[in-house]
Amino acid sequence: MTLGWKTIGALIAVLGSLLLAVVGMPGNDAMLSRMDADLSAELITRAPHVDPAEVLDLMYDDGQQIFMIDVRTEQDYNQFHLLDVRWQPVQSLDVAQCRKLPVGAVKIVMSNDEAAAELAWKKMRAAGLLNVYVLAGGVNVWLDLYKEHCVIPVHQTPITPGGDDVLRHTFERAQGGHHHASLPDRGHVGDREFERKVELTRPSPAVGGGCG
Amino acid sequence: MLPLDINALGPLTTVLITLGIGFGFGFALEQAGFGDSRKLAAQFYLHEMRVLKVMFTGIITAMLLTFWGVALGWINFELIYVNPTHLGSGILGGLIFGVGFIIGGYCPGTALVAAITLKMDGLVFVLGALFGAFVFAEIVPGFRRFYDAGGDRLTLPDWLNLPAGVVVFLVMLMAMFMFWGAEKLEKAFARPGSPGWVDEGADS
Repeated sequence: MTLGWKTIGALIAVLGSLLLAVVGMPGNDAMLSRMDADLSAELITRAPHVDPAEVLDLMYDDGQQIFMIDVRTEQDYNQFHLLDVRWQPVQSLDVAQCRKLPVGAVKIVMSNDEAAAELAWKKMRAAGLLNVYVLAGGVNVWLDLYKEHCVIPVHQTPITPGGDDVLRHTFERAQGGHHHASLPDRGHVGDREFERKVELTRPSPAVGGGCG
Repeated sequence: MLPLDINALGPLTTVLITLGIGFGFGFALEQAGFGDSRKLAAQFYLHEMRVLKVMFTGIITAMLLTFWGVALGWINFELIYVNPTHLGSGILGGLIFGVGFIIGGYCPGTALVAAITLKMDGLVFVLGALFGAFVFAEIVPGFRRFYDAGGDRLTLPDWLNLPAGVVVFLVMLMAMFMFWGAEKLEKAFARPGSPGWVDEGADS
């Protein structure tokens, strides 16, 4: 029996798609393993680390959608967190839910210092999410800057990478997002000199579609 | 290096790749006969299903290659632009588009193909399409809410809540069924000169 080219083409297509159904798409862990070296190199450059002042500026920017994701423990989150932040502990980070966030929105991940946030950042980047950044210095530096109404000379506070990701600040009672440092006054943006790093990446929209 | 990112190639390379793809697309349309409005309109009379066969073949080929690229880690699916889903305006626009297609015998892309080969009907269709686009741009503020309703990035795997690989296989099966059905329709609605026409007196 000779097969025509149409039949051969159809068989190749069906078998190719059947094999794809069996093989499946790579999971987040597989993508993370493949991309880990490149992602680690990117973190070393500090390009994804956004200064707290820039994050504060974005929180007031009505023209830019921002989603903040707190990956700390529930206890630390309850002690203090930024206003309107979403809580997703890093161990159970749901990247499928994160994928539903608007592509053009800025996503800021934060932990007490940076370690857990960087792991969450890697997971989200491996899942293909765009415009994901890490809060430089984490919640600890945020509180260094804004907890005491900026009594300390904020422009002199360096942001040192690293740390053991333990909350250094204590609170008399858990205040969650009701602390004044949860949303400091916008005027404090100008207290620091910092390099703006947020640069939106969007998939290039196609012009037209189908047969035009 | 992987997944591939076209933006990392630089603007000139991106433009050249885009030009190459556009050239290939136009070439393929012309070679498939889509510069002839009679072949395009015949789709709606069911005696020549060339449009369905060619377009759907292109779709399933691109689908298979894209998702194999994702499976192998060569492509980041999130970087591929997916048109936002505006269901209401899409359905109404599709209806209007279909009426224009069957009246004029072209869609905008194939009209350009015809125009570039200096077919007068293609040239006129392109002018008409440009005028229609101008009128639309002027009146769309009046129904912006309807036009913009929806707007999420929605794919079949999301909607069906099935793994992407399974959806690819199901779409492939659907395509094979449609190709088979198209051949049946061509035979059932055949007329002299159409692909499904069998000239029973030819051998006599």
